[in-house]
Amino acid sequence: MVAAYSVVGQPVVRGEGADKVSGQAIYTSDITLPGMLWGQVLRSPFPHARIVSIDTSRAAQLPGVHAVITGQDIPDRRVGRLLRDCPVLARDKVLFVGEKVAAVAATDPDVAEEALLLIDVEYEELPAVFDPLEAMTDAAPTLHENLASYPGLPRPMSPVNNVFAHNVWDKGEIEQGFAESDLVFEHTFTTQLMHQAYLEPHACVVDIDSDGRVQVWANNKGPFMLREQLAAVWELPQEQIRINPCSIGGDFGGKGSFMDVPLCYYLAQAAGRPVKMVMDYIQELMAGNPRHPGLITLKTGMKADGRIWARQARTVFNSGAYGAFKPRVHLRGADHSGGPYRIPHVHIDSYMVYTNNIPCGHMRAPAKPQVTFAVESHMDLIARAMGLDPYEFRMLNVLQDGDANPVGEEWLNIRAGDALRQAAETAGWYQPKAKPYTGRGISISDQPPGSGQSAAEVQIDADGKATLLMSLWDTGTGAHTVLRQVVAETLTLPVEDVGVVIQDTDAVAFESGPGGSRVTYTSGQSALGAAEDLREQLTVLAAEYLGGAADSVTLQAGQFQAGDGRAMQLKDVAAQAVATLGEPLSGQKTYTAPPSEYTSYCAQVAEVEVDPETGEVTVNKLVTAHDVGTVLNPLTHQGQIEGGVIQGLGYALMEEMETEEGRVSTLSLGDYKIPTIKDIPELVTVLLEPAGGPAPFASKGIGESSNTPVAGAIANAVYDAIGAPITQLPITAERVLRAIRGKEG
Amino acid sequence: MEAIEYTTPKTLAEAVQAMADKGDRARALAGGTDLLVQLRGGRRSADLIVDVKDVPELNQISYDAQDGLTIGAAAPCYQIYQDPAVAANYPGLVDSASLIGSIQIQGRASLGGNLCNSAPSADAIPVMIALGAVANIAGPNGTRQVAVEDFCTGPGRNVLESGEVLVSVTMPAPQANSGASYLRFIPRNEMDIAVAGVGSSVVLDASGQNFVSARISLASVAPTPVFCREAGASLSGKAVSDEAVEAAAQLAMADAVPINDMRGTVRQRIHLVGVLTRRTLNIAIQRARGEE
Ligand SMILES: Cc1cc2nc3c(=O)[nH]c(=O)nc-3n(C[C@H](O)[C@H](O)[C@H](O)COP(=O)(O)OP(=O)(O)OC[C@H]3O[C@@H](n4cnc5c(N)ncnc54)[C@H](O)[C@@H]3O)c2cc1C
Repeated sequence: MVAAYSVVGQPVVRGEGADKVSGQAIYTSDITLPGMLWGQVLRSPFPHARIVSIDTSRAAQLPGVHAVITGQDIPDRRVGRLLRDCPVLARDKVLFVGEKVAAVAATDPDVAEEALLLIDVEYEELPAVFDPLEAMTDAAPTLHENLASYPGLPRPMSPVNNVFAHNVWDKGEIEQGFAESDLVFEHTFTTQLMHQAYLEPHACVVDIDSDGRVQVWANNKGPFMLREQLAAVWELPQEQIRINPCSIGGDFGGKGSFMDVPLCYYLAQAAGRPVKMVMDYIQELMAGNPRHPGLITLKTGMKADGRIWARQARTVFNSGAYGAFKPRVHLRGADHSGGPYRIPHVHIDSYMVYTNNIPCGHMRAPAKPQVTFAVESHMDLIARAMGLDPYEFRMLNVLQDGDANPVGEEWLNIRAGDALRQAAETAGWYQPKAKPYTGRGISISDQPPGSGQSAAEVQIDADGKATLLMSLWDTGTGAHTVLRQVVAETLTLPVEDVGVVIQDTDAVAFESGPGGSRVTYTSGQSALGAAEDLREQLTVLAAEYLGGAADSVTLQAGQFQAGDGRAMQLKDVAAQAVATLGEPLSGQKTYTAPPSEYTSYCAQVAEVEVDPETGEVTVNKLVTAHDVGTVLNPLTHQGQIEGGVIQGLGYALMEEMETEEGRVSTLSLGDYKIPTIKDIPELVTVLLEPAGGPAPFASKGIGESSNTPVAGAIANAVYDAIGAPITQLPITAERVLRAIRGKEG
Repeated sequence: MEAIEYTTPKTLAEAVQAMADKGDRARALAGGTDLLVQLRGGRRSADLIVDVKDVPELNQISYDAQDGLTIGAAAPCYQIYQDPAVAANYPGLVDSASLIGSIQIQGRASLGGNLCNSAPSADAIPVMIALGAVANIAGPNGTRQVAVEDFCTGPGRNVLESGEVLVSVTMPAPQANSGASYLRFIPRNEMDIAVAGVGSSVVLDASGQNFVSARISLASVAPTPVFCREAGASLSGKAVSDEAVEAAAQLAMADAVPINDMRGTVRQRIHLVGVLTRRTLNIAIQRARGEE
């Protein structure tokens, strides 16, 4: 059944767009307070060293410097999103190149910069470990000697050196599965360190009021969670902290981080003035919280007829020096190591490992792009070894409606096979290729909408205009526009008559904020609920004004209609109500989302061309097929799909933070390469017939799904083109050339 | 960033005077796409910026079938590739001017800036060398000319003496049956620094079947752009053939002395020199035959 909507489903342009392109949107770095100082940090040049001494006296004497602090000047407490293992400033030891060892607050950024040069730190270098497998051996230095004492550490503790989380997913009997298999395949895949490459680097401003109230501005998308983290490390009651809204210049998972906020408070305290800290891109690339590199070994038992019978996965994530930048400590996406396939016997081990590298955090569908590249490449290696067509091999094994997935989850209305079929058909899977060294590759993964908590209020004023009040920061996805559409649809108003006001953390109890493809679901439901609450109140009032029973009054196209044919404009009802009440009428909803019963499949086919002389890969076309719900706004929906594909393309082909002995060498966006407009292939999007979802008007999330399968599709297309697999990302020309040469012997 | 003085001379004499007055502490500014980035990043410092965009000699493009092409040092790329005489007679130069940076960068970036910045990876230098270009320099002691292949002396270093400015670059008029081309290899399709680049030019005989002469030059595989004298000379008098092209490519590869860095390994770069030399020679041959 297709419901007829008037605002939902329309390509409404972003309400916040005009402010952004005209420079009026307020970002954190735009915040300027009277007396404000600029904070800068001195970072460690060594990957692992003991701090012997720090002399800040020369820096403190520089005119314009108001505070210089080191780890000794602040309480010995660690901060983290869940695992609290990261010192605000290093105390005795530094664990990565870029770790903060001292901080300065000065009248302007140049003075602060100059002061850093006047701080003398004596280090004693310690043996460092960069490779996660090496870190897991007993011979490696133990980077966190007091691991057991960290709040948030998952139990039971792993006995393996430098492992701070070991997660296991189990289904069936893995040993039995392999015993029953006719063939066994094992391959190992490696993926790289990747930065989110948002436009806006991390920034924050902290101001401590005379009564001790702490005002924070930060480009953090989860302000309520940030407040909890700050309250824990500062040992302040949460109510004493207020996080104020700002626009966020891109997130992609990286902006859930506290970054410099904990430190900024101590600088503000020491200086007795508000302090602003803005990272530059060098610092972002040296000490942001990028995507984890993964080392993924997959072992699969096969039946001779092509059925997958057993899957053992071992995923090792190089977390760098700290685990503090992950909201769950581990990376949940490792549970996708079975892919969307029917596999009776599954065992997955996932390890989070400390090394002396940059600490990693969350990025768009954490761990899924890593394991999906591995799973989908492994699928093609198996298919080719068994003489099966990669698409048909997937169709033989893909989950059917009613199946439990490899980790035992059951989803409603599984359309994985449909997604694969539509992607393959649209791409012309069986069509002959135009010339040698061209190839096609297919890949699939799924992404359920995440759950969380959200609070919304919808007010209507005497002029009949509605306002949605929420504490949901704008990360650049267009979510506010979609939420306005949800409210407008419910109140039968034109979307222009619904505004958004973003509130600070004092306004509501809690809001999870964007993340895990959850906004349309969780915040969508609270906005919808608040609008429905308001509509009910208006309906009761309309009935009263029209002199009928509430259940006989309906709202259509901005007008209340009684059973007897009498009618009253919604805005007149609002005007009369507001006049009587003396304030706007308001509907409210706090919504705690249960885990979604739906997931969403995305299948992709890439077509590539390889230059056999240089190894250069050109992606000519990419088909992305999505198992969607109702599309609330085709513009913002397509924006997420395209952005995700392009980010996936960068992951597949070029993006890599290269390191030497833990030192990131790609310290600018010239050296760290993201795709440019000339790298973007023809993109064909296929949306399956909408078929339900947990979000308002039977919709689903779309924020992460298109990003995950891309690297697998491109890798498989390259495999098809050159006849040799690529098991390491990114797929650089040099690696491809090596694979061609290796094949030729 | 420190406070810097800025001046906009209107004549060449004023520009030279301003440069000479401040000596090593003065820097000429053309498009600024190298200079401003370097100043902001703290990789260069200067007390005086001499903006040469108002000096007529540095901003003209003139072509004459006898004397060839003279491009003012500050003329931006887009003016170069949009110039009908350049497009008709120097397609190899168009290759370079139209791949530097992006449309936005090409609105400012100049050949003179590319040459004076003297990066090993500069994309406009190899084709200038292949075309036999000469740099016209003015200084407190008058003017002088330096062949472009002799201009760069190290990464970011060149023959310009304190107080000197590059006025223009002159390319000889194209001979009959000649053609040139530039190609580079980069990890993405624009806005990137060459992993390796090759500029080639050829002159064929009237039949189009034999080389009269050829010049080959490389980017990004040595501390300076490389002029592969022998590789070019090896083609003189030879019949046009895949073997001859391959032999020249092998000689060009022998001239490449790259380093391993995050952009590429020694092995890959030398390999790319071979591939790109073959490809640029073949394009140059096609152009010489009027096939393109
Ligand atoms: C985003 C971006 C992309 C880029 N992509 C490329 C690319 O693809 N390929 C490439 O080769 N380069 C590239 N560059 C570098 C740069 O654009 C080129 O080298 C350009 O040709 C420099 O010209 P300009 O006029 O901007 O030089 P400027 O920055 O003005 O000057 C460069 C240097 O030359 C000196 N100089 C300039 N004119 C004179 C003169 N008349 N006499 C004496 N000295 C002088 C300056 O003092 C300075 O040291 C890129 C730069 C950016 C920012």
